[in-house]
Amino acid sequence: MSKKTKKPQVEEDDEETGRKLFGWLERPGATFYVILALAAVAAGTLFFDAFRARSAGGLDSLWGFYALIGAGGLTAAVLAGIGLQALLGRPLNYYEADDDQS
Amino acid sequence: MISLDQFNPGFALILAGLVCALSPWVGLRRLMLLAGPMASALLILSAGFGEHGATDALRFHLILFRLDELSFLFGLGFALAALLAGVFALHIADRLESASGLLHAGGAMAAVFAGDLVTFFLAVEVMALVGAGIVLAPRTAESARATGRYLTMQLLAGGLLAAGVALTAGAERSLDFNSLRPDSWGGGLILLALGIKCAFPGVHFWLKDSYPRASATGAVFLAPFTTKLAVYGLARAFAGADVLIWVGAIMVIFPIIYATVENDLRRVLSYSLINQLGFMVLGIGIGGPLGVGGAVALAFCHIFYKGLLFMGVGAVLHRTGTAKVTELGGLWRTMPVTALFTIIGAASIAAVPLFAGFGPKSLLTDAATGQGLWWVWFVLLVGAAGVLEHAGLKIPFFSFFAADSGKRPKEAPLNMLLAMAGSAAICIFVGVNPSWLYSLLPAPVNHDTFSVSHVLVQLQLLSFAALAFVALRRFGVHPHARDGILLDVDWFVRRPGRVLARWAMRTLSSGETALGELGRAMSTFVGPEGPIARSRLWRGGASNASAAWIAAILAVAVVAGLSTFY
Repeated sequence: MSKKTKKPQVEEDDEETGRKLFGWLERPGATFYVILALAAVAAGTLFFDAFRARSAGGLDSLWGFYALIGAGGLTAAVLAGIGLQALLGRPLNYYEADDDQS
Repeated sequence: MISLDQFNPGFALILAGLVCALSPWVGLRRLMLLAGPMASALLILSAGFGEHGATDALRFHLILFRLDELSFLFGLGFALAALLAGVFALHIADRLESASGLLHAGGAMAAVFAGDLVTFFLAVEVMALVGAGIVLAPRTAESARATGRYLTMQLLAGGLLAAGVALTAGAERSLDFNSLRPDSWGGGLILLALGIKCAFPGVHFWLKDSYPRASATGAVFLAPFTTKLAVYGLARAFAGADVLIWVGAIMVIFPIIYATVENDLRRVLSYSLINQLGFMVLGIGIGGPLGVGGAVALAFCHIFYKGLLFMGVGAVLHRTGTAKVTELGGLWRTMPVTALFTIIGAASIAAVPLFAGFGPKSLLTDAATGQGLWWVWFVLLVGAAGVLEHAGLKIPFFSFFAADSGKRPKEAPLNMLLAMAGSAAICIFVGVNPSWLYSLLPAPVNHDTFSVSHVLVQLQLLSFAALAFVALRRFGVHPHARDGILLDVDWFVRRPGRVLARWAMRTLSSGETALGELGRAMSTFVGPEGPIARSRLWRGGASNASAAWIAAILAVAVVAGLSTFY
């Protein structure tokens, strides 16, 4: 019979705190509900955007302008990053040969 | 006799650092990590606004301690940051790291309170040189080489600063450290020196190279001081300089792209630091109470939320031995409190309403629109979306919540959690009460931060950016992290620059002139067989030789500068 190992009390406490704070993430559908909540906030801001005070004639007077900048800005950054990685990505030891010579 | 209120508060930290350096007792060193920052904070709070500690030394009229609205806010931020970093590092027994950390913080604070250019220069150099000890502290081959590159850039900045101070003093017949003209020779060189320390585009690589090489605690000591001191210098001397708008705009955008695909989270934070500095530089360039006020307020907040993020990632590194996206995930199970504090830091840097970054960034966007700088306003908005991606979502998500790495480390040590709790409390306090921060700014700012319009547009921008992040991951567009490096400007230094440096060294050493003699003497000292290269402490190869060369140039610049003045 294999000998049972007991976890230290401190680690058990850490795991208990983890379950209390973030354990709900492991429930079925948790990710879906997080995204749903995010979508609800986004939709709410879009709805109330119709009633927001605007600067005369500025770009931000367009309804949903900030939604476009938020989603577009993030997407552009990610796509640019992919291009950058393809162009300038190198293996981890790229400089090592030079460094070893010095 | 000098009374206590004449004493530059940075000297208290420097004194504590010296005690640390000399003390063989770990307990005393730990006491200094707490006592030094507390003493400096008390000195700041007990002194009245004005010039203290004026003295004549080396035929200069030096003002060792000047307290005004601008230096008060930076000094207070530095004192609190040093205290929190000290608490975070309490478990460390390494004398080099503890002493360097306190001396680095002390040098930065002494520079902030310097009332003249010579005191400022000397304090900046103390800060820069001892900063090398922090980078070196892990004592790995990588950290030694990064130390050499760090020193090279810091000493180059020091040489430029020395020359700039000398030229300014000669032209103006004054050592006052106030508004300077960027189009004058002296002012231009000082701007360039501050630019290196502020990681301007093209000379930014020392930051992303050295900070991730420091230890988990060392990075927390490095993050708040050098770059924020440069922001302080820019705000004091170059407010309203148009060139800073362009420089700041580039700084806001380019690091975002690097950070998006970077695998090492501490390098992500380093690029993120440059991005946030861009917001500050841009605000200083816009000028006026809103622009400079927004930049200064952001610098104050940034000290704490970036410190908090470095602490969160540092705690992960301390417990798991890695800070790479490809090796992390699912740590919320056993490091939930660290995860919670990291989320607070992430919300603050992403400028979520009620967290620290929101108020200052609102000031900056209003400063841009108030002056009709619509392209700047657009850059600020795109920058805000980018910040959410790499710092607001990537760091907490990939460390704590992404696919389970199977790692089950213990929660961070109590001292680390206390330091994170202190930083998080400041982030929330300033986020909820931005008017408290505004009341401390150099010029009064009356700003309705929580107007419906401000809150609504920010929530809209952030929530749609977050949805885009979800969609990009869902459809497999978001790049998978890869273990590797991304070439940056340092390629020029580490490849052709290295060849050039070797050639220059050979050429200089071979001549029969006085320059050749000097070159040979220098090569004997700093060359591969010289005492520096052979010493255990400074084993870093060619880059350390470059650092020593620049140290010599710095010494020549200082002597030339002083002789120019007289």
